[in-house]
Amino acid sequence: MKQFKQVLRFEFSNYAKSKPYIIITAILVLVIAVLLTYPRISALFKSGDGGVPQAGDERPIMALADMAYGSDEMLKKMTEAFPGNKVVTTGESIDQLKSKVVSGDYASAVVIEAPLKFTYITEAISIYANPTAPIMMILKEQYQLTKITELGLDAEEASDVIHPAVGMTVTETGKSQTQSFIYTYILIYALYMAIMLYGQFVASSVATEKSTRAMELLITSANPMSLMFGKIIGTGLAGLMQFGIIFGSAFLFYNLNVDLWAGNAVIQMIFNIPLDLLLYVLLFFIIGFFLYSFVYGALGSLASRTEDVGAAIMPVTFLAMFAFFAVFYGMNSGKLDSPLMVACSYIPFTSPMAMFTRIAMSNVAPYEIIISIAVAIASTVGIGMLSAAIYRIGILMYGKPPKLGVLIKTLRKQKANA
Amino acid sequence: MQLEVRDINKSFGEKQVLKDVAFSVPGGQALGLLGRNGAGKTTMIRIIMGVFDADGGSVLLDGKPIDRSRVKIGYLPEERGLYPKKIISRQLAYFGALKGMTSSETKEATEKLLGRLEMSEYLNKKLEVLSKGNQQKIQLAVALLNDPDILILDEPFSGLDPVNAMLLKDIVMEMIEKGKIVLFSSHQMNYVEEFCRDIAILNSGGIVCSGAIRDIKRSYNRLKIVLSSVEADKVEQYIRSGAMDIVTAAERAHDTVTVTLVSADNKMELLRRLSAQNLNLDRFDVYEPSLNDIFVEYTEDSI
Repeated sequence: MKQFKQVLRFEFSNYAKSKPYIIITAILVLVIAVLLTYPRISALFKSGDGGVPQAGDERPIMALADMAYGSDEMLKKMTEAFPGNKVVTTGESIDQLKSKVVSGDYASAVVIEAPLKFTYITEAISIYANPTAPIMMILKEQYQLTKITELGLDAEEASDVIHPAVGMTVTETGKSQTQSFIYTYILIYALYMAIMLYGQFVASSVATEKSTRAMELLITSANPMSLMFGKIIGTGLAGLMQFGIIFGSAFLFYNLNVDLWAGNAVIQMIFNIPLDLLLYVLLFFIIGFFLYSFVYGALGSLASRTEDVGAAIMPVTFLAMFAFFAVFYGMNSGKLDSPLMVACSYIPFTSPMAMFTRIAMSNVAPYEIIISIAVAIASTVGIGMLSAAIYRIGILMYGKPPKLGVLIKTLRKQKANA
Repeated sequence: MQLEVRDINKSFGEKQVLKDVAFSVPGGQALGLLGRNGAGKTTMIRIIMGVFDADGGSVLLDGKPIDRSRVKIGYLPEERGLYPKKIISRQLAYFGALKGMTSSETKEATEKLLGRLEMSEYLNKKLEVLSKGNQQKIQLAVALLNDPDILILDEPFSGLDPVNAMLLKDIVMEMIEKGKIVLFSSHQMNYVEEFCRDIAILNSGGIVCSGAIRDIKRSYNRLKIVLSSVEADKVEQYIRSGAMDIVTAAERAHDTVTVTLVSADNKMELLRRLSAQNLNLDRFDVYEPSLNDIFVEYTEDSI
């Protein structure tokens, strides 16, 4: 136990005190801090010139030259349609407006030349934006209103015809997949990344100890079980700490800037994770991480050189990828209780991702959760024991990795001798 | 204190690597565990260290099965290596902790050992900046860190320059003088002869020769005679023409003729005949076999 603690402490500090670990964690925390504080930061740097800011109103200016209607109603509708812009009316010509857009006096300009014809002027349109769509909507609606009014209805009646009120009640008997999709996806992806990254760290670390022959001394100073479990748990704790810092800082900066994000539905969805789900993700993170890491550790012990690690761990890497994509497919299709997802919820290598996703986005009976967790924990213990036996053999084998048949034979013999 | 290896057998798959291996090393002595590459030395050492379990036989300390949690064993493996990218003091602290030492004990031992090995200035350097020989000295420091009762050295002199070899020799001699058990595996027979009173030669997994080096040399067949003469050509000529009834082979190199007798009893007869020829002999010696000769003789069948 003492040796195990020493190995664990050594491995943990190897990661936690390493420059790449500290730098990457610090950069990620900084990026999260900047992203979540961005509205506050950007406000500090905005000045009062150009087409964007003006005293008292820092929004970019959209010039509206209404040659068709000339009414305040059009200004009002345009202002409502473009809340991010300050819409101002102007009598300038298209050429004048183009010049002002080029010079930056206006961010954009809309010239309504006829009831159903307009020109939109801007520097460039992002592929994610479609600013002409609301203008088209406004013009169509205004045209319909005008025509219906001409037929004898007043403006309010005409508006009721165009925008009849539809009563609607949505009742979701299960969990709202819309609400939970984003944070579930983020957490599943984090688990997948943790498995891939830290699992490979474990495998590489074992292979490095073999290739540098440090293993020759280690194996005579500590027992293999302490070496393997200390390494895996030490690495796992370092990974958990890194993810804890990253996610913790995200929650911290979100809460510090919660007022800025009140109107952002996506951010609200990401950060409004129920506490029970956080506990589930922690549990499945621990089970999933150790399950895979034990296998990565055993496979790493079969590689004699760090260059061989990639080939040695390929099967388990594919397994992790399969688990991720199967779950991702289930999430996208919305069929979270499909036979594939249910089966994946009980298979140890896929259950940490699949069962967590089902818990987050579907209705899963408590007994199903208990069975899945029990199977996963039992498998982790079993695979841990098997991995330790392989590790014990593998760490002193050099040259070509042994064939599966030879490995099984050796394991049987070892068991018979024990 | 006495380490005893009794009838150890070990197989890997179908291949039997060790067959009834037995030897013992008392405290204050070094045993040379010799053998060609692949003879089973490292497997034997790993069994003593507890890395492998023997299929049969036992490792005893003072007549009782060795309790590795109580006895301190220091090991310098043939395959050298530690953590190249880590600070030396940190590596020694780690190995000290694994060996059950407190941090203050490790610190004290580290300072003492690195001072003794003339490596103090490298304490806070990364291993990778050191030369191969100096890296080896750090490994030796790891082996000696907990002042082991049993010191196992596998090819400790390979890669060391003569000055460092001398330093290592002094340290090993100190360990022997302090009453430690030293197990020494090497192909450099001169060092084996310097340290070890006893040897055990492993060949194809079995002990083919063991005992005190002096006794082994004495019991070695004494059929070879070394003759030195300024008239070596005449001596050789005479032996080939007039003494082949008692000689099986004669080889000349410069002023020396090495003769192999039919029987050790023919020694005096050869001397008498050479004297009768009035040949000018400077030397007439029974050839003293080197450990190398003994090693080759016992292991060459597996070449």
